[in-house]
Amino acid sequence: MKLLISHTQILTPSDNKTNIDIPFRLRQSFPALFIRTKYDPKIVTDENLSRQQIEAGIKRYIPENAREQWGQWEDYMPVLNFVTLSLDYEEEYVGCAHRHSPVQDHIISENYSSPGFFRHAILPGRWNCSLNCHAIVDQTVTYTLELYGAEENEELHDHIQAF
Amino acid sequence: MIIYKPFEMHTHTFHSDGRFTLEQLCDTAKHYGYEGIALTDHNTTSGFDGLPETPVIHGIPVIRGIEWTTFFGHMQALYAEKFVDWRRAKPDTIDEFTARIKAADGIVGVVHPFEMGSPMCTGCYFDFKVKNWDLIDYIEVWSKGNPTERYETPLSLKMWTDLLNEGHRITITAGRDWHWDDPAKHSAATYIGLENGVVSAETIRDAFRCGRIYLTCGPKMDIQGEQDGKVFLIGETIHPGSCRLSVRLDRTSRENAWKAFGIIPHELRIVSNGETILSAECGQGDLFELDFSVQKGWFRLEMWGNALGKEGKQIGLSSAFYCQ
Repeated sequence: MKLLISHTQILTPSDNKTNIDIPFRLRQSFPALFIRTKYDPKIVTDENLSRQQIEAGIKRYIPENAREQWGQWEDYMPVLNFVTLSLDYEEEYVGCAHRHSPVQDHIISENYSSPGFFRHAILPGRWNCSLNCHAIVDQTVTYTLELYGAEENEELHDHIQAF
Repeated sequence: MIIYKPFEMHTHTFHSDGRFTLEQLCDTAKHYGYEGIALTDHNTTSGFDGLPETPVIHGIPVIRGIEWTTFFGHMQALYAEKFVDWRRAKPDTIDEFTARIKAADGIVGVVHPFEMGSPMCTGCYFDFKVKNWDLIDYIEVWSKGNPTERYETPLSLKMWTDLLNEGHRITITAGRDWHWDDPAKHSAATYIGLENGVVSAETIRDAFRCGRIYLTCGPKMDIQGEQDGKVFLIGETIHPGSCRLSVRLDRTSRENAWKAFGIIPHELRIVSNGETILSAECGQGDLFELDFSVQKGWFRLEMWGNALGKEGKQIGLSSAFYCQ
């Protein structure tokens, strides 16, 4: 595998509910693109912050007459940071991995792609990884993105297992 | 000929955060007596990659859908022929995006509009500022398992009723928001009236645009109206005056999905322009003929009874009939 991009992004609450584009250009084709993502922390460990946010949510979303049953803040712990990754090629949507694991590996290729992504040839041109920041609650969340291009004759099956 | 079939309209597989494969999902749907599902994975339709427009998996037709899982609310698009980018929609610009889905021949629905939002469920509460509700085809008024028990249900029902009162023609769905099998909860079926019972992009679009849909947590309800010797169906328009609604309850349909949850019908109601204008017992018997007079506006059929051992629960709900 050839490392194409290694990118670290520090996310803060000001990034909450935004999409952060990480565009990149490939100058050659690859048999497959491997994507490795990781963000940390996943679980918000500041109990006061979590409680404060949950209680604000209860006040906003749950009618007063339903709060006895639905309004216990402990029931909604823990609060989570949540970032997903979506991918585009030349303005064409290639898919999204809307899953909660903070560590994810994906493969994109013409004949097989990880769930959430369409099968798509890895062609030269403009690509874009979009970090979909559904919830950035902690003061800093460190997101790392690594992209690898498969080498010719590389055995993709091994990576499909790993990714 | 219109034939009503029961669907589960809100499902997820491992193509997003569900635990089902599509095959497992369809097998589970079949177990609960559904005759079709809508696959609505979060922000992707990759579950359909390489499959026909309406695949049939283990005998279950699968409606092509996506759940727009945005930061400001969740929506569904069914059978849109072009991808419309969910990432760019903002609360004040949502109409531009729903217009694009409509232009792509898609059906647009608002789902679980009153579910808790962040931080409990990110983006789940509907914060979009819709200006043109005529771009919305349906509202998921019953969401999740045990919809009769959830505080969101009356709020969603009020949202829909208010829109009907404003003159919009919007239909309804129920959605279990199925991510994995949860047999401890009861769920509803969305009965969709399909031309000759065929499930295709064309017949689904037609049923949603006509509003030929009803929901039930219990028995199947065959509903047919008659005015001046002419038959009318859910979603159709009649004139003010006398009419009859014939309702046939099939108490054996999908019974393994609801009888164990103590769902027992007691009463049928006609609600017109937000007010109950007729009530009839339906504890015994199969066929109920309801004669009433309607005014300009809309009316719908509701079924009330027990659920989970509690009385006074709404367990059946038709989309609106219109009167002008």
